[in-house]
Amino acid sequence: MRLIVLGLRNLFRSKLRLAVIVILIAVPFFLLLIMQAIGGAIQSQTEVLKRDVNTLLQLRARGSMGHINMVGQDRILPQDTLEKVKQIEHVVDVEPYLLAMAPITEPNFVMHVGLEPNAEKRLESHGEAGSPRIIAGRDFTSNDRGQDVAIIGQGYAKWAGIMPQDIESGKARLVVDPTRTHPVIFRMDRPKRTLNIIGMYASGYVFGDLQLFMPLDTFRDIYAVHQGISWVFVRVNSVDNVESVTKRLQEVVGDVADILAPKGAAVFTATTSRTVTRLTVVGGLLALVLMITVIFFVTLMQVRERSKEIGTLKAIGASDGGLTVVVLTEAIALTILAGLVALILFKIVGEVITGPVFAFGITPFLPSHYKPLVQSLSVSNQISASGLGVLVSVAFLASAIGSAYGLWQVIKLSPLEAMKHE
Amino acid sequence: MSEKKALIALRDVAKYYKKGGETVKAADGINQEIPTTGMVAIVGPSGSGKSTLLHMIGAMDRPTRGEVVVAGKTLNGLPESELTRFRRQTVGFVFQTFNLIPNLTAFENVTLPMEFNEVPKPERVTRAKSLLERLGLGQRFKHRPSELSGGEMQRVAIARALANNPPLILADEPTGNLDSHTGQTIYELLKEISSERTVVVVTHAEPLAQMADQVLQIRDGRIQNSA
Repeated sequence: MRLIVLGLRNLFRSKLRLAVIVILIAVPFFLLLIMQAIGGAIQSQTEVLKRDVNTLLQLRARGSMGHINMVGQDRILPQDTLEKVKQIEHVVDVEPYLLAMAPITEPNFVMHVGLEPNAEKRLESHGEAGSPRIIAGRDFTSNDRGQDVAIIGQGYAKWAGIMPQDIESGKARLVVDPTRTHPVIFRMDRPKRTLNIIGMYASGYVFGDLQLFMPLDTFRDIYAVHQGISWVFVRVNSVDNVESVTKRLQEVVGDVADILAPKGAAVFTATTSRTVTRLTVVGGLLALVLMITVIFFVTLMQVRERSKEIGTLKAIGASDGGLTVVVLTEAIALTILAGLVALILFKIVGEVITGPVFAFGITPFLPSHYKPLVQSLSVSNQISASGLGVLVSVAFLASAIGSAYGLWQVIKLSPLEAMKHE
Repeated sequence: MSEKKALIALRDVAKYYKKGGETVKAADGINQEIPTTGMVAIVGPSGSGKSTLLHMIGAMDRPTRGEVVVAGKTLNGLPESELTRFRRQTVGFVFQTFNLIPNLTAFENVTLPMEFNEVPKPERVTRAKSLLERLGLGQRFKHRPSELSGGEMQRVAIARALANNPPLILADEPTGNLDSHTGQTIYELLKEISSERTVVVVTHAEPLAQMADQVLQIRDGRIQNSA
């Protein structure tokens, strides 16, 4: 205990020197905090980007639109595609779709879509838009599976003469007739089916509003498509994995499927995150090296200055372990003190300084298309508990590494050599 | 003198080292025994090997040849950790420049060797107080070395040397930095404590040598006479 106290008291031998040394160590510490702030800001920015970036892949039968009654485009994916896709790592969701076309007033047509009741209602040509807003009635529930129910787009409803109040009162009906044709739609010899329209949606797109969603099993029954899938939507767990999943899909189902991947956005986001993280890590490491260098010279100077004292301590029975405690205590306390100073400084001026440091220290190393990201960066002077933990660990690590050579000098010297060394 | 009664036995002890291409013989075949109590003064001109001999007895330096036996322990082959334990338990050092730890109080300086020796705290406190009071420093417990006179600092150093109650005190020119009056006080103190242990003093001071029970005259690394 006394040795720890001795180490701590050694700090205050010269207050002026203590102040200088603390500032010297605090500077790299401050840089480290700034790097952490930049890293944190980039991380949260990237997370926002990742949320906005489409991680949805679409599979269709090779060279086909996959609409079951479209002239020349009616080939669909084999049924086992679903199971194969589900086995792929990083795939979190697989949605099977069946699509058929239905003529309305020439030359227009609408789209009939079969899907799992809980799946997102994706729009033809606007697949990434996802679930449109229900404006009348209700959405599907799992109880609707296999039932003769449907949700209609407001444009299709208008053509069919279905009003929102009809849906609310439960009287809205629509007859699906697979025999009707169109220049691009061929006839299917199947009986008509009357569906109960339980909801109406609005998508914001003209063609998006010309769709009819029904449960997948109902679709299969109406059109007699007992096997196969028109489209499969595959959601990947992270934008970072889109590329690898795409590659894996090509290996697994590439012979039967075309794979439509949002490649550009994924690559952009993943690259941004990686590049900036690497730069902040390099900056952080440089700050750490600077800190270790300062501690190295400070410890060495103190060991040289107090050589006689160290010799005396050895002469009166101090063990190498005891002297290690003295030197390490001083180095760790010094680093923690500098860390506190840096932390206070960072709290006061961190937000103001981090921006310019990022602009001059990191931005020049980034390609020009990252500029919008840089400009929108929101830097915080908050330190999380884990961030604080990292800093304390860094303080210990830097103290241990920085004072190692000085410690070795202390241990190596005999008491007599130490006393003569002065 | 029979070996049973000797605290220190030096057998053909030599210490050679190189200086500017020449071999300096700081000690050259010293044979000597020193009893378990009493004051022994080592005297001789500068560079004669007095301090070297003292350092070898105190396990601060190793001989090039020969055997140093202190309190039944042959020091030559002991590893560094054992030598540290030996210094802690068997020897108390008093230096010419006092060598007190500047940022510790007089009291803390005295308790420090006891902490190294893992003496329980209550005993440390009692022993340190008693030693400082015995040496006339009852009012100086909380003073740091910079607040003490030379004589007081040396008395604190003697108290520190006695802290673990070692059988051997080694003093290297203990009055070299003191005026004659203060030096006299320190001689008397060392003489007093030599009644219950061995005190080996390296000195140039004739009065101190005269107070010693045994005087070892050294010249060119050899003991010329033992009176």
